[in-house]
Amino acid sequence: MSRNRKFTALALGGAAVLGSIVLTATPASAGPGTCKRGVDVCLYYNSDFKGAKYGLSETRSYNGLKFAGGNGAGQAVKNNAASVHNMNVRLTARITYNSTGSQCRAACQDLPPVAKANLKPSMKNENAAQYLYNKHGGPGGDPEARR
Amino acid sequence: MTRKSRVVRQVAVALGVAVAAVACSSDDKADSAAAPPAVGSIPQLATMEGQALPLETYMLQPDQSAKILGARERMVEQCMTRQGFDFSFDLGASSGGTSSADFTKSQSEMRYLIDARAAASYGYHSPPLSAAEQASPPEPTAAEAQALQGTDGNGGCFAEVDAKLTERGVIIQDPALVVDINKGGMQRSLEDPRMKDAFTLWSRCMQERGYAYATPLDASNDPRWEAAETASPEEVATAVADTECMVANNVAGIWFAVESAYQKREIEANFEKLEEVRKAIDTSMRVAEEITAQA
Repeated sequence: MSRNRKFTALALGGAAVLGSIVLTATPASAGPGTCKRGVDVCLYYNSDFKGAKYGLSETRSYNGLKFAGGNGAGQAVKNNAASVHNMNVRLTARITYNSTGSQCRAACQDLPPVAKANLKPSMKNENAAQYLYNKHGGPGGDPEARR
Repeated sequence: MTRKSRVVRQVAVALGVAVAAVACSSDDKADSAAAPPAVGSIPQLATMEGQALPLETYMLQPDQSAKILGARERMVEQCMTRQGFDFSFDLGASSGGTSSADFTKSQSEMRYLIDARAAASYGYHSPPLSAAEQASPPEPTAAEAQALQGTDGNGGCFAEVDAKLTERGVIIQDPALVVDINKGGMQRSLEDPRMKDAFTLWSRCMQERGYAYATPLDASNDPRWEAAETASPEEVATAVADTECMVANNVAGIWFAVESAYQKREIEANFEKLEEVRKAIDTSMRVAEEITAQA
């Protein structure tokens, strides 16, 4: 969890302080081989939501992540995810083909909350990062509403 | 049921609300064997704002997605209420912020970097987010998650609502065919002889400024950038040079024309299916407005 938190801070920049607050309220989740309902974007090594997986609830590059728990375990997530199930109930997941920034440089694919799609093969699997945002276009939520 | 509504329904079923991506992809193999399509007039582009590739007609635009997903949320909330939960997607005013412009632009407006001002401010990074924007929204409790999406993530209120929406002809995401044409056209453009010529000119321009990259994507995907929270001075300088070389050689204009040609070829080859998509988008907007008005 702390590892993921760190990654979020990395991806969002300056989120570190706030992130630690958010995380206290967040049960351990996600990571290689596991996907958590409600929050995770679940990336699969194989199409049709099969094979090894990786659950990731944050905006970040896929760089350095490795699939676990099935066919493709140990393979890099970056450029290798064949299907994705966005299990986050509030946020859309934007899968981009560049790692820096949330712009759809080249092309991208948006997965609404609780939706699935195969990513292969039109961009040669070059999925590089994900960005989570709400339907109004704003990336996170309102901490005031958290209580 | 009228013929039209039956067709819409069949299409909606075929497209699927939750399982939108599996079927009917454009055929990469057949297409790659074909000669590059003829390119029409090449526009001189200084900004991508307001530019739309031909496929945009068949893609959900950000405002359309927001309306459809908003209506879907109202239905899920009603389903949750019926099950005794007090669950809301509305997180207050600050969650409705649109300060991250990237998420309100069309894909056509984002795919080629020529905004020198953004490059000078943020390099290849996105504008920094406010504290509220950085916060994760509250997680559903275990009981809420169960009611929302069932044990395996494929059931619950979302599945119930999506089945109803599908029945009414609503799509919640771009169908696989559209996604494939969008990404496939970009992929093919990277190998297109006219783009290779344009990239050669761009690369030479970058070389003159001291940067060694073969293509603009190589520059924006430099691993040094993604490792940093915000743009370094070097990243900013690179991105500025990048946009200058893009504009100096009209790379975006050429790219737009080349991608348009690939998209048009795919649109012609899949015209009937895409017309059904266009109708499904119209239907989705109408139904979403009805649901929102009733909620």
